[in-house]
Amino acid sequence: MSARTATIDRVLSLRRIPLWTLALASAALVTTALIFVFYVAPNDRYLHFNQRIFYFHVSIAFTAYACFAGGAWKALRHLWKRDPRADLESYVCVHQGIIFGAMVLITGSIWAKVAWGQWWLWSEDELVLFLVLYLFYCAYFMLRFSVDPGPQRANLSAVYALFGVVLVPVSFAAIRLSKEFVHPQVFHLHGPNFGGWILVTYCIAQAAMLVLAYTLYRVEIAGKRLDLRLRELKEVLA
Amino acid sequence: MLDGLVLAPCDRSAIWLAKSLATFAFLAAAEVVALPLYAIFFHRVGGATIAAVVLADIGICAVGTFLGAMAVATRARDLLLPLLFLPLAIPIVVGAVGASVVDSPGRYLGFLALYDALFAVVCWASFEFVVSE
Repeated sequence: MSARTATIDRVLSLRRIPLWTLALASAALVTTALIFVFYVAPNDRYLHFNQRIFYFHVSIAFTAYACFAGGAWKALRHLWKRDPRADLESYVCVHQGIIFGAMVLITGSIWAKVAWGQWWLWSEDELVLFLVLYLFYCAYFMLRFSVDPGPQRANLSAVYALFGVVLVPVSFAAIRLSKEFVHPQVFHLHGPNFGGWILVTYCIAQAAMLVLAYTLYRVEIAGKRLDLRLRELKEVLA
Repeated sequence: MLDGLVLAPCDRSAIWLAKSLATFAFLAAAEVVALPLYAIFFHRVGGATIAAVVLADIGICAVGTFLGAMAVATRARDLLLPLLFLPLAIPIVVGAVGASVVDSPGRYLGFLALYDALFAVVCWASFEFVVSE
């Protein structure tokens, strides 16, 4: 079983892709996405040109969730398999998720200003939900950096990241339920004509954001590893 | 105190369960007094509200005990616990408030039960990693 799993692991492993390939791929994809968003996708019927931020906003939001899910997966690997690299990887995943989450809040505010005339609406449940999740993951950093480095910090961070992946669907369920008595209206992000070039553009933007996030993740993890190694070297020399 | 409890020759998760039950007893004792007063002064308290309060108590105790054990291990223990707990408590508040105001509270109670079950399982499974190194 282990030999076959190892083979599958090696084939599927993204770790083997060199960093410069990833950087080039993300640059190309982001450029393509920008071209599609500005020149190919049709104008929205109600919001006209302004609707185009939707392609980035939604794909960034999805990428942020993917980062949090990746963080939880690495956390599970740390707790379960005792993978020595998993703690740092989990932390970097959550860190990227926080960066993309901040971008979700910013692009969402721009969208809201155009669509609703307000930067932020407390009555919109999706906004509050996302803010709560964002703050939950901000508390991850407070937790992590108020424990001394070591096995206990790795354990606590991993357990907290796992809590997050349980909290996300639970919060979604809570929001769905609360719609009934707080806010009956659902604002439709896009018209009924979701298909054709809109779908193609969205898919390209989504792919671009996912590859960009993975590239940033790899860059950050390479930097963190280098930092750790440098510190060890300093201790040896001192 | 937690360091001493960890020495006990039993499953670590049993400590979490015992602490949760103790907190639950405290909360239940307070509510046995508070709910009749609430019924007298404010609004009728029906079966759905009581069920919602019990389910919310279970969630608060399970998650609160767990995060308490987590926060004790950090430097900013008193400051960190509410920060960690608030986002996790919001679904409980939504479910419990919903169950006590709508006419057919079945879905809210179901949601609270789901929350309790999910987080109880996660806490039970991962408490050992919180108290041991």
